[in-house]
Amino acid sequence: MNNKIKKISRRNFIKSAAVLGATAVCPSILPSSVFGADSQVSPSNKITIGCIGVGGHGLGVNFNAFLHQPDVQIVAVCDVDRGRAENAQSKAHSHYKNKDCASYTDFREVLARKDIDAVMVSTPDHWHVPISLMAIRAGKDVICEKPTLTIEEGRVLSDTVKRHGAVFQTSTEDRSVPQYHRMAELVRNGRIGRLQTIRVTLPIWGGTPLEMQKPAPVPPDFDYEMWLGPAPYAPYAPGRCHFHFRWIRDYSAGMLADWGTHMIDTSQWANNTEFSGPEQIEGKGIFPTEGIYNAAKEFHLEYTYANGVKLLVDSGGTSLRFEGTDGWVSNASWRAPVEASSKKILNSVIRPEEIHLYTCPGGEHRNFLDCVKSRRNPYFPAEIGHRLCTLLHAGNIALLLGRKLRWDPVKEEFLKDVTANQMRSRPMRAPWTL
Amino acid sequence: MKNIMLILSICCFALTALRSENDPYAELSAYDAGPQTIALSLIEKEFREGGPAVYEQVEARLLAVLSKPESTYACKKFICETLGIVGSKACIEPMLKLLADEKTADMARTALERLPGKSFDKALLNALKSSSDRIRIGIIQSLATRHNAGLAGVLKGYLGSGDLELIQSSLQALARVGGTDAVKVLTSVRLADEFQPLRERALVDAAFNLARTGSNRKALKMFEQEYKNGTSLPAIIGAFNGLIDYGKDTLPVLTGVLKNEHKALALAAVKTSMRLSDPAVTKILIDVFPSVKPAVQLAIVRALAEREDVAGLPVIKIALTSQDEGVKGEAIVALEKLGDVSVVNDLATLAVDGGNLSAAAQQTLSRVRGPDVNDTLTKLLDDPDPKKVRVAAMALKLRDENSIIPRLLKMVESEKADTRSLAIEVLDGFAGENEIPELIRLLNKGAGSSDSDKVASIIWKATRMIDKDDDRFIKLWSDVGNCPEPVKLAILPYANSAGGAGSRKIVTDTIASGSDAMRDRAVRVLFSWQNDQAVKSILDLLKSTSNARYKILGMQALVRILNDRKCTLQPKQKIETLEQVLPLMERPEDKQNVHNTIEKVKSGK
Repeated sequence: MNNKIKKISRRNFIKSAAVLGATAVCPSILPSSVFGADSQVSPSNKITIGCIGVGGHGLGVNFNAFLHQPDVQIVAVCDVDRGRAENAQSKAHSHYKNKDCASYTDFREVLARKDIDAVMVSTPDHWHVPISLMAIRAGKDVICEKPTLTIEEGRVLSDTVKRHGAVFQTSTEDRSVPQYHRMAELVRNGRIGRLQTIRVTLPIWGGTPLEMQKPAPVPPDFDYEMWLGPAPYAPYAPGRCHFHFRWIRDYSAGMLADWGTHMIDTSQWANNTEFSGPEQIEGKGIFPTEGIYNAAKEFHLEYTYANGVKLLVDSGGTSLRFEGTDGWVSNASWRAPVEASSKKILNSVIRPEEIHLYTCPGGEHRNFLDCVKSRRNPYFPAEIGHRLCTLLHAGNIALLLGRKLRWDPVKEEFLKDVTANQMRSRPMRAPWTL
Repeated sequence: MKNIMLILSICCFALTALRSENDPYAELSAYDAGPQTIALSLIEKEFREGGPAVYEQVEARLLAVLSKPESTYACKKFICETLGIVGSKACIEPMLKLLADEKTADMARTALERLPGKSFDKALLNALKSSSDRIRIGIIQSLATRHNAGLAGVLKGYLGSGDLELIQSSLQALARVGGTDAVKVLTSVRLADEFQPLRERALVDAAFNLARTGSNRKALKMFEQEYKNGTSLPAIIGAFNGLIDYGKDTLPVLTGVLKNEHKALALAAVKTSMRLSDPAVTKILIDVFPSVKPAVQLAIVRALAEREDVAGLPVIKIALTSQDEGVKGEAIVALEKLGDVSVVNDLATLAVDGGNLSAAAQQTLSRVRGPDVNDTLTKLLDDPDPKKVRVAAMALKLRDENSIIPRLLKMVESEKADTRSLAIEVLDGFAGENEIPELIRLLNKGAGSSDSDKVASIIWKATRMIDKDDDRFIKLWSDVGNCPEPVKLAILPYANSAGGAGSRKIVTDTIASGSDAMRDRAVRVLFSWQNDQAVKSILDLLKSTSNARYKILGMQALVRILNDRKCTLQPKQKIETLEQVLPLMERPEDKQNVHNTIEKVKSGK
C-alpha cells in the first residue's frame, strides 16, 4: 500500500466494497481508537488523520499544521490531482522518517480505512459537505474547510453531526486570531455600548485570463470526473479548477462566501447571533459579463437582525468595524491591529466574571484535536458554520434575484418568496447525494 | 455604496447598449462554455431587474431556444439552471425530454427537482418508472429531496433487485424521505448482510425525519429497535441520540451507555450529555466517573465544565489528582468554568511545579470566579515560596485586581532584588494612570539605578488608558520635564511613541540644554519621530548643529517623514523644507538624496 497511488473507478470501487454502502457510506467500519479495549488504540496513541485535498491551502496550511502536532500521525493523503497527492505523501514520509503514509486519488478509500480517526477536508467547496457527511457516517471526526455550498447542505451536515455525536470543526483561524477574538469580546462585554452597526469589507477577486477559461484537454493524472463529483458537468478548463473554482457558482459562492466566512463570522460572534441569523437581506451586485465566472464580483449587502443591528458588507478590503452607542472598535485589514474610539476601550481588561469567548491560541487544528479527545464542540462547530453560511448564501440569493428577502432563522426559510426557497438547495449529479 | 451604484449604472448602460445590438436569446443557442457569456449575463439581468413579473416571459424565450436542434450542451445547462429559478409547469415536458437522455438527465433535474408543485412530483414519479441506470438514480434523489410520499412504495421494489447501486441509492433515498411508509419499508425489507449497516443508518435517519414531522411515538419505536438490536455502531449511536431527543425516561438510557464498554458509545453518551440541560445529568456523570476509562473520564470532566453546574466540582478536584496527564490537564481547564476559591491553592501549586501543565494552571488562576478568589491570591503574596508569590501576583494582574498595586509599588522599594524584580515585572502593563505620580517618585528615588529603564517603561504603559489630549497625559510630560536628568533619560525614548506637543517639547528642551548624553538620546528620539509634527524641530536642529553626523541622520529622518504616505504637508511645504536642507548637506550623496526627494515630490509619485 505504501508509496503506491491507489486509484479505482467509482463503479469498481462500489463493486469491490459493497459493505461501504452507496457512495462510500461505511457504517460498519470504525476507527480502531474508538473501540473498547485500549490495546486497540491506534499506533503510538496518536490521533490518526487522513488529509483529503492537498492542494494550495490543503497542503500549505492544513497538512502542515497537522504534520507538526505532536499527537497526530497523518497516515493518508488524497487528491484527485495525483501529483499533489504524491507531493504530500513525500513530505509526510520525510517528516516522519518512515513510509507509513498512503496516497490516494479517491477519498472513499481514505474513509474506508478503519485505522483513521479523523479527516481533514480541503477540497473545493462543492465537495465539502458530501465528503464530510460520508466521513461522519463512517464514524470519523471531521475538520473541513469552509464554506458549504447550499443552505440545505448545512442543515443536513449539522443534524448529522449531532446524531452521530461527531466532532466537527469548520476550519478557519479567525476565532483563534487575537484581533478578532478581542474585538468580539469587547463588543460582547458592552465596551462600545449597545451594538448598532457592523461594517465589513471583503476583497474583490481578479479571476484569470480568458485564455485559461477556454475548454482544454484534461491534464494527465488529474481525475476531472472525480473533481466535478456532484457538480454539473462542464468541460475542463484550467481556469475552472484548483484555486479558481470559487468564482463559479456550480462549485462555490464567490468572494462573499470565501472571505465572508472570516470577517462575517466575527460579526455573528460579536453580535451573539451565531446560532440564528439576520431577518432581512438586501443588496446589489455586479456580475461578470464575460468568461466562465459567474459569482458576484462586487457587491453591497445590508443585513438586518432582530436586535436591530445592521450588518453592511461591501467589496474592497478586509476590514471589520463595530459601532455602538458608546464607541467603536475596528481593524483596517486582515489581522491588522485592533483600533478603538478610545484607549479606554482599546486597553480594557475582560475580568473573570465577564464574558470570555471560546478560543484556542493554538489555532483551529489544535482546537479540533483537543475536542477529538474531550468530545467538546470545537469553537467553530457545524451549526455555527451552517448559520454563517446561510447568511452568506442568502446574500448571494438576494444578489441573484435582485430583491429584498426576509428570512426566518427558526424555520430556516425565506418568507413569502417561493423562488428564494427553491434556491436553498441544488440537485447533485447522480449518484452523489447528501 | 456610491461606487457600487456608479459601476452598476455603467454596467446597466453597457448591457443595454449591447442588448440593442444583440438578442441574448438568439446568441444563447451557440454558447459553448467558453469565455463569451454576455448573453447569459443579459438574461440573468432581465429576470433580476424584472422580478417575478417577467419570469413567465423569460421561461418562454428560454424554452424556445431549447427547442432549437442546434442548442449546445452548455446552452441547455444554462437554460435548465435558469428554469430552476424562473420556471413553471410549462417547462415540465421539455425537461422530461432532457431527463430521458443520460447526457442531459442531471441538468434537467436542476429544474425538475427545485420547482414546487405536485405536477413536478407526478412527472418525476412517472419518469422513474420508465427509467434505468444513472437516470433512475438521479430521479430517486430528486424525489427524495422533495420528500415525495409516493417514493417509498417504488423503492421497496428496487430493494429486491440485484442492482447494487440501485439498492444503495434506494436506501439513502428512504433515509431522506422519512415518513411512515419509508420506515415501514426499511423495517420490513430483508437485505443481504452487506447492506445491513446502510439499512440501519437509513432507518435511523428516516426515524429522525418522522419525529420531525410530529410522529414521535413511531419514531421512538424505531430508535428503540435499532438501539437494542442494531449491529452498526454509527446507527446505534444515532438511535441512542434519537431516544435521548424524543424519549421520555431518557436518563437510564444515558447512564447505561455511559458505562458501556465500547469507548465509542461511552464517548458518544458524554457528548450527548453536553447538550442536555436536566440537572440530573450532572449527578449521572459524577456517579459514573470513577468506573470509566481515562479517555472517558477526560470527556466527563469536559462535560461537567460545559454544564457549569458547581455540583460537578468535587469530581473535577478528583480529576486534578489523576495520574493520567490528559485527565488532569482537562480538569485544570475545566476549573475556569467550575472552580472557586477552594481550588486556588491547588492551582497555585500546579502553576509552580505542574510541569507541562503549569501554564494551564496559571491561566486558569486568572479566570477562576468567586468572591474570595482575589483575597486568597492576595494572601499568597505572603507565601514563603517566591515562585508561588510570582504565580499569585501574575494571576492578580491578569484578573485586573487593582487593589494590589499599592503593595507592588512598595515592593519596588524592597531591598531584596527578587522582590523588586517581581514587582516591576507585574506592574509593567498593570499600573495605570493613577500610579504615574508614584512611579515618577520611584524613578526619581532610584534615578540611575539598573531598574530606571524598567520603571520608565511602566510609566509609559501606565498611559495606555488615557488619550493624548487628556489633561493627565499632558501633565505627565510636564512632570517629566521637571525631573532630574536620569529620569528624563529613562523616559525620553517613550516620547516618540507618545507623540504630541508635550512630549516633543521635552525632547527639544533636552536637545537645547541637556548634557551630552541627554542631548544625544533626545536627538535620536527626535530623528525617529513617527509623524510630520517633528519636521520643524528637525529642520531647526539641522540649521543650528555643527555635528556632521546629526546633519546626515536628520536629513534622512526628514526624507523618511516627507516620503511617508501619512505625511500631511502639502507638496509645496515639502519642497520648501527640502530646499532649506539641501545647502546644509556636504557630501554629494546626501545632496543627491535630497535632490531626488525634491524631484519625487514635484513629480507627485
